[in-house]
Amino acid sequence: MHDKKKLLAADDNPDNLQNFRDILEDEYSIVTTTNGLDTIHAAVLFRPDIILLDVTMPGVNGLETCKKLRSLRTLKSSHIILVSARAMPYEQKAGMCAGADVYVTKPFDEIELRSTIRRLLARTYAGSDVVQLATANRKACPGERTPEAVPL
Amino acid sequence: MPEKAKDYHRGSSRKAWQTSKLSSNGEFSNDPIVGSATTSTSKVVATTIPREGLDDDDAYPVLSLMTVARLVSNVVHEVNSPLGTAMSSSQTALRFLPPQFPPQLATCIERTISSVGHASDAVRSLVRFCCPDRSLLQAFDLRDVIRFTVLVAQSSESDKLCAIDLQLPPVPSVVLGNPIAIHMVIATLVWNAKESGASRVCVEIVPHADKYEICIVSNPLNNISLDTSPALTSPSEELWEDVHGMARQDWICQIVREHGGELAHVRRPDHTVDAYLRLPRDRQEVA
Repeated sequence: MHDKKKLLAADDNPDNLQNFRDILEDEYSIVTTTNGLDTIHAAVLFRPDIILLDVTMPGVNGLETCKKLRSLRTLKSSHIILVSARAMPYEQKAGMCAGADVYVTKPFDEIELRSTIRRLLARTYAGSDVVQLATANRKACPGERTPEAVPL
Repeated sequence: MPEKAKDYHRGSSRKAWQTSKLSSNGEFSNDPIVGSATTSTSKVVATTIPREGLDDDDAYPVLSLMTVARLVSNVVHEVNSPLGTAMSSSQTALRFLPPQFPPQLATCIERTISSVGHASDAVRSLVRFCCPDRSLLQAFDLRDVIRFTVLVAQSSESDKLCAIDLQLPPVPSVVLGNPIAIHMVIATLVWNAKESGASRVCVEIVPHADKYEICIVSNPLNNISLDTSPALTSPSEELWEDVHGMARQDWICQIVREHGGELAHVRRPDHTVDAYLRLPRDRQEVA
C-alpha cells in the first residue's frame, strides 16, 4: 500500500471543504483551513504536495496567501491550484501572477479536478519543469521593483 | 509664468505648464527636465477645461461600460459560488448513491448536474461578452476616460478640496483597448496624487507620434517621502473595494502591460512627483 499524497484545501465556505473531502479523500490525505493565515501555517507544518486555494477569503486573501506560499523555500515542490468563482480573465491572470500553477473556475467537474491534480503530480515525479513554469509565470508578470519601473 | 503654474512649480520649470505656456502658439518643445522630446509635428493646443464645463453626458459611454463590467464581475462571482457547490455536491451524491435506490433519483441528480452545466455555460458567455479577445477590443478616446475619471474623483464635496485641472487636446486621442481598465489605472494615479496631500493635480494628454502620454502632475506631494513614493501607484482601497479578494497591486501594471503601454514617474528635487502613463496610439489612427 503506497502513502497517500498530501493535499491542503483552503476555503472559507465549509460546504466547499466538505465537497473537496468527498471528492478527494479516497486518494489524498487532506487537511483543511478556512483562512489565509491558517493556510500558511498548515502548509509549513503539513508540507502538502497540492494546495487547493480559494481566492476570496477573509483576512489574507487567496492571492496574497499564494504569493506567501511561493516565497517559502520549504514549499517549492508544492503545487498550488487556485479554485475560485471569480471568472473574469484578468482575475485569472492575477491568480497566475500570484504564482499559482493552475486556476480552476467554479463550478468545476470533479473528474477535471482530479485529472488536473494527477497531471501536476505526475509532472513533478517525472522531474518536469512545473516549478520552472510557475517561476516563469511569475517573471512574466509585472511587479518586480526596478529603478526605471514604477514600483508596485 | 501663469499664477497657476507658480502654484505647481514654485519657480521651477515643469513640463505640464510649459505646455500650457506654449498653448498660445500651439507648439511643443523638448522638455529639459524629463528629457523626453515631444514631437514637434504633433501640434496640439492644450486647453485647460474648467470643471464646470464638464458634462455628465461626456462620460456616459465610459460610465455605462464600467458599471456593466463591475456588475458582471460581481454577478459572475455570486452565481458561480453556489453553482460550484451545487455541482460538487450533486456529483458526490451521484457517486455515493447506493444501488438499491430508485433509478429516478439518479436521473434527478443527473438532471441537476446538467442544469448547473447550462447555467455555467451562460455565465461563461457573459464573461466572454464583457471581456472579448484583444483583437476585438475597442478604439476609444482617452479624453472621455479622463473626463469621466475627474468627474468620479470630484464627486463629493470633500473631493473638491483638491482641484483637478485638465489639459486635453482638442482632437480625439484614440487608443485601442479596454476603457474601463484604463479608467481604473488613471483613477488610481489621480486618487493617490490627491490623497497624498496635493492641493492641485493636473492631468494632461501629451500626443506623440506613436503614443499618448498621460501626465499626472501634483504639487506638493506633502505626505510622500522618497521612501514611500511607491504609494503613488498603489491602487486606492476606496477605488478597488469592489474587487475585494484580488491582488490589486498587480492589476495596474498588468493592465498597462496588456495595452502595450508603460508607467513611469519622476521625482523632482522639490519633492513633487509626476506620474506618466504612456499608451500606444491606435494603429488605424496612426495610419
